[in-house]
Amino acid sequence: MKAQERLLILVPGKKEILLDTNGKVFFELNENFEFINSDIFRDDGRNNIHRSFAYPFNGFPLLVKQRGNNIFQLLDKNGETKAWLPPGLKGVAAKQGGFYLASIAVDEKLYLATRFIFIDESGSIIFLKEGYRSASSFSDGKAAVNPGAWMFINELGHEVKILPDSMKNARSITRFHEGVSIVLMQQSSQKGMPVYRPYVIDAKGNILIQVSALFPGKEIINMHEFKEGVSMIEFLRDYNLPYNGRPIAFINKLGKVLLDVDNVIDEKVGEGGHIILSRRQKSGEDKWEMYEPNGKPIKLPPGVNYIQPVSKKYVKLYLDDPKVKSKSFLYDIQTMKRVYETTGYNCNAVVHERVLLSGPNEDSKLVHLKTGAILYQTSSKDLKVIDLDRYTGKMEDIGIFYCYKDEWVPRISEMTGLRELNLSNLSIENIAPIANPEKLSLLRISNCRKLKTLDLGINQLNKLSISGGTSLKGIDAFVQKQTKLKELHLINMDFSVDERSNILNKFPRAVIKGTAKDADYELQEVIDGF
Amino acid sequence: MKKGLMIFTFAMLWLTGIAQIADVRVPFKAGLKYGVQDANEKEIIAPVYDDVAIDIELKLIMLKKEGLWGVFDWTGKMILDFIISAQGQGYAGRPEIKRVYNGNQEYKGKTGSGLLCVIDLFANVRYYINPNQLLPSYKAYGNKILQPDYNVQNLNYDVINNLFMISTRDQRVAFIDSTGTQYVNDSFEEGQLLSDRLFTGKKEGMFALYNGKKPMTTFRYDRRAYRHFDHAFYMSRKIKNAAQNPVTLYYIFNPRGEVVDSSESTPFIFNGGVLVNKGPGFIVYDAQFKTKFSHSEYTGDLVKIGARKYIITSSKGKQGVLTLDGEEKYPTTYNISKHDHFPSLTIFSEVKATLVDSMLVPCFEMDSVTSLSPTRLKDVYVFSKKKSWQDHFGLAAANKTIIEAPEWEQISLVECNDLAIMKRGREVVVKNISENKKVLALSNDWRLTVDCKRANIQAYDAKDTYMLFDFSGTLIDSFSQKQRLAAYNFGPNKYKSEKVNKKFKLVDQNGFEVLPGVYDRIEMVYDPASKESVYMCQTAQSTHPSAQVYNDQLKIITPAGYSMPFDWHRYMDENPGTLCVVNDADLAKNKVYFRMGICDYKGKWIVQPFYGTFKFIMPGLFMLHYYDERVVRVFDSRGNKTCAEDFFMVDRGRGSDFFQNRVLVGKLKDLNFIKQIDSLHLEKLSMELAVEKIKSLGEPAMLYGYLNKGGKIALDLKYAKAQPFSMSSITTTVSIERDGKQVSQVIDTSGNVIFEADFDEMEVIDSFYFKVKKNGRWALATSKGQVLTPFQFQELYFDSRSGFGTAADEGERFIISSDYKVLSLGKCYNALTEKINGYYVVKLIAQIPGSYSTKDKFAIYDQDLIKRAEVADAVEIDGEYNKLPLAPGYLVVFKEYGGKDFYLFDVMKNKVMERK
Repeated sequence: MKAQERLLILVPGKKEILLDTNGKVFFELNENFEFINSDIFRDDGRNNIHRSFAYPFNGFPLLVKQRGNNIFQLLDKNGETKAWLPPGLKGVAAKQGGFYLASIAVDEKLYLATRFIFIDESGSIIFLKEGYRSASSFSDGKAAVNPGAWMFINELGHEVKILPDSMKNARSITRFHEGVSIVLMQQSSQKGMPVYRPYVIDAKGNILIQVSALFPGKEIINMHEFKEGVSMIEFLRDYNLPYNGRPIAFINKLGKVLLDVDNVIDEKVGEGGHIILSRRQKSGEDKWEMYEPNGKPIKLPPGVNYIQPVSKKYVKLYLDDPKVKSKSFLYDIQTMKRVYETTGYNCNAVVHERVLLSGPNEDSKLVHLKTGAILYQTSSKDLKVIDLDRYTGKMEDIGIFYCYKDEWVPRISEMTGLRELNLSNLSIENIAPIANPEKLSLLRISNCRKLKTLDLGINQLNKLSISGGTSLKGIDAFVQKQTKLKELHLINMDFSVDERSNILNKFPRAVIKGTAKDADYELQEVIDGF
Repeated sequence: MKKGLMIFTFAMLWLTGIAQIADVRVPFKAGLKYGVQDANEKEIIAPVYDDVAIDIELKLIMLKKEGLWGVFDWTGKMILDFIISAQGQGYAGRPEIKRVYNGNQEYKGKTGSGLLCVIDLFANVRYYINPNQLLPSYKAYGNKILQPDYNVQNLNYDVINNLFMISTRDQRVAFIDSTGTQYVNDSFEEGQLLSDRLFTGKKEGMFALYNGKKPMTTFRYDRRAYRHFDHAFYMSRKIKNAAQNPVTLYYIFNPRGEVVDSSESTPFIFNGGVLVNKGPGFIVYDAQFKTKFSHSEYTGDLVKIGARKYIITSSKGKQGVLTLDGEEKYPTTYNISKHDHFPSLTIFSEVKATLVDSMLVPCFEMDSVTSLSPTRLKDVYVFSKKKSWQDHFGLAAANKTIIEAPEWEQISLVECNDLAIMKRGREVVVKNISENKKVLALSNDWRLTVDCKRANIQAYDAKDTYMLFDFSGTLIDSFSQKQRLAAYNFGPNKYKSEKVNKKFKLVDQNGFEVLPGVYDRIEMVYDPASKESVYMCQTAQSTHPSAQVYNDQLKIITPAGYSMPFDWHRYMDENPGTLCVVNDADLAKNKVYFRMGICDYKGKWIVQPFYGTFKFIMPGLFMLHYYDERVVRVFDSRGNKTCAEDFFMVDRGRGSDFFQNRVLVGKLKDLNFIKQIDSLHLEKLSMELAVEKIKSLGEPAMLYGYLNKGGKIALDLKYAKAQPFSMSSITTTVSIERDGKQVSQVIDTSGNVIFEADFDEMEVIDSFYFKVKKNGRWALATSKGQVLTPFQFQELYFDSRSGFGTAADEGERFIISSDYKVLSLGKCYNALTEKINGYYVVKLIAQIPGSYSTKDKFAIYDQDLIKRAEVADAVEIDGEYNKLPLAPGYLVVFKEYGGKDFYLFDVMKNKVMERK
């Protein structure tokens, strides 16, 4: 018997970690890997870039991918490779039902087709080695696969006679989720668009709902999996009319239409089955609405300009505020009371009353919603500081700084540990002196057209990129000073013949491209109203 | 009484026969479905299945239904339901069933437990079943064999026939018995087999011990068990001692899995006992955990010196030695050091150091030294003396003569000779101890490596320079890092070939092209004698000239008008320094009659051009065929004839080389044969007619002998018939003429006659059989010359491994059985015989008159060569069905190649096994 499944929290970053709900580091990856905790797309088989930060853990090994390539591995408790997944995979979904659903590219002579395979925990391909044309993950011991015709297979890879023969040529079939699977049968459309007849079937193959019959005269373009008994149905809109949203409906598993509405701009079903909608009003404004899983409206606070479902219990509401662009709070759905202010943070996940928030500077923190205690916080030492206004750490801890506001420039001299400095779109003439220039290994300057000089004390750069530094003087001397330079890019600036040859003599692999005039054209893209 | 015994014996044999018949299971077909029957055609399994596979060795039946295989026992009772996909099962197309090795450790134990595994490659799982003890259902486990644990050694897997460590489907570990039942309804992160009953399992990082189903401990041990002997093993865990300091506590277990003792020190488990330190004091147990002796104060350390074991005791900073019986050989008043690579101890007292052997007998001693140890050299010892704070080493002889004063910071003796490498300050010295001679002295910037295999000392200055010295200290070579790399890339050649767009160019060490063109291929040969290479560059694929050959000076070396056909490059490394070339003009005129010569790398002729070609090229030897003289001449690699005689033929038979250093050569006994051939004017005839004409002259009288591979005559040319020596035997067959009669002989490589017989000719078939000839007909004989069949065959083949032979005479075909009976199959175009499932299956091929087409039919004969059946509609007959052998007496008859149209055939009943 394996360890029971428990939820961990995935904290992204340079070194990704898994936290337990007390904020204790459960597993730390080295920086060459990233955790895979997403599904794969059913069309091209690639991993969804949006990973779930609630990480279901039911024992080792852990599925990871090498950063920068598609090599997938299973790591054991000590971080050592327990198995390599077969090479050449396009994507691998997080383990479901004991197996990994993955995709491969197959050469069909005229095109590369995507095929779906299953992999077990030894890293071996199981079942149809050449892959299925389409497949769902395993759920309730079954997976829907299409080796040429749709069927459900069991954990030994054989067909389980569930699907009626009439549905074997379906367009798509979902896994069994919440006890039901959704079968989309292709249907001819009068408007030439792909439309479907969806059926909801149970584990015995009984048709529970003929969805099209609920909406006579409407053409369905998609039906989503049920979440806590609520499924969303998208209809084909009338393209002859100007766009004012789309028709959408929501049904429950009994086939009851919970909501059937038009002019929907944004829509989603939360983890708890709550319906969230933004509808365009006759006035042209978009208004957010929220409903309980039974279709009963929920009263929202005034000024809601966006709703993000976060967990079964919580939603994040963005509220208009004249002072800041948008204020955001976590609300308890049941009571519709504010629980925690999240302004300025992305709310990645809520797991057992703990919310994982990520800030603008690649910083994360885990907060206990009941007590407000910060259970985990990324160290301020190794952050990539993109928004200095919202950086709360010490100036001397900043290693990487992206500076795009003139008022931040004087503070550079306080950053005694600076390793990488990015200056962009500044209108200053001089940079404040760097406190420890010998530590600076990367300097990237782009479109700082008034910048005149560079600190000649900076001489340990590995990488230097200057683009559109049209007022800069002494670049030749600056380059000559460098002793460790490996990469040099000088873009859209004018150099004399001597300067150019001096630079190339010192650094033959330098990339020197474009002229100051080219910078003007580039600038048109950047500066509004130019 | 005697009659009664006979009746009883007969009855037993009859019953056994009945039982054997009843024990047969064969598939049969009814329409498109398959069933299983026994030898009496009694239906065991009804014909309702899509396919059947019968494993007669394991007595299991596999049935296929709706794309799934199930496994059944010999009576047709289901073992494994239809759960194994028929897809993706590999070459066999069905599940593989294997016997499970004891402990589930392949290559370790036996397979006698009755446990089998059924492998489903499609789902990558295996099922563990025992047909003798069926379970209500079977679980799918992982298809992986777990490797034994390195902490567990000397486990006798022969007795572990009821405990198997297996992988679960989620790559965890489980333990099952010989019925396939899990001992513990649980799986583990890791596991270990410790005995026929004991195993450990790890959960959440901690190990527990089990004795079969019974947990002997909780999950409390953080390290895996250490087990090297049957009588004891230990496990450990970290605890806090009384002072709240973390310590590791070792628990010692007996073979029943009970904790016998524990200690904070690692226990010493040895053959016949256990030493447990208690700190202070220690206990020595015997293998039954009875206390042999103990000491309340000493600490014990078990050491092995040669084949003997002792306990080095310690107390208050001093050491002594105890035997394993507790006898104190040295009290704890010494300092003792053990030498890892030598079976000895050094025992230091206040005044002297004594070296003792494994029996503790003193063999050398020195006064006032800080260390003393033996060396690989029997009479040389390394000792040290303290100078200020540092030990300085020296060498002493057995008679205590100081070979090297103790002035060195480091001394190490070379493994393969009498050299010692010594280091002090900035100086590194290599010295020959036996000759007391300094071989090499360098500064300590140089790192020395002694290569015993190549007999040299390599010195590297850790920057760019390498020097090679021989063992006398003479500098052999010196080269830079770059040169070393070039030697690695270029080998001994000055240039190398580099691939460019599927062609090759010749480049130097700087990567520059040295020849203007690119070539289809470039091959090179290095001549170590002249230290020169040639570069054979292919210029054309199918026309001549096809190659240019350059030397290191990039000059074409072939003499004017001559070039080397590129295909010959593969022979040119046999004799480096030589090159075989042909006359270009001759070859343009006639592709089979041209002049060939051999030149050196300067283009100078070694063998002057002649009309002909080479017959064989071997290291150091050319055998050249002179067409005009109709002789074979043998030259060495310098172009000298190795023997005065010329030969008519040289033959290596069917071998790939001349074996046993013997080359079969022959010359005509009567040179008039040449004149007879000339008179035939063969050059004017077609090839077929020319062959017929030569045959009409009959076999010429010859004299055969053997050369060695140096080209010298080893056995005189005196044999009338002779065969080449084979790779496997130092004997061959020859015949001589004696008193006008042919006498066959078996001779060895020296020409000694092993035995002789009154045969015209003999040929070795293998180490058991010869074929022997008399009056122009072959017979089968033993390797001792005993004739086994009549002399009646023009052709004869016998394979002792398959136990039968075939023969032919004047178009009549024969089978020779394993007991040497001969059966005539009559005259036919050809007859191919195989032994399948105990029967001779003969494919008789008849030529349709007036046509090149043939018509085949199969005849099947039993062991006694009695014809049992004839099959006219077959193209192929096999003894396997679904890649499993059928029971003896049953065959599969294929009506088409590819195996889709076939039927099963009962040979004894001469009947197709198909029901309506």
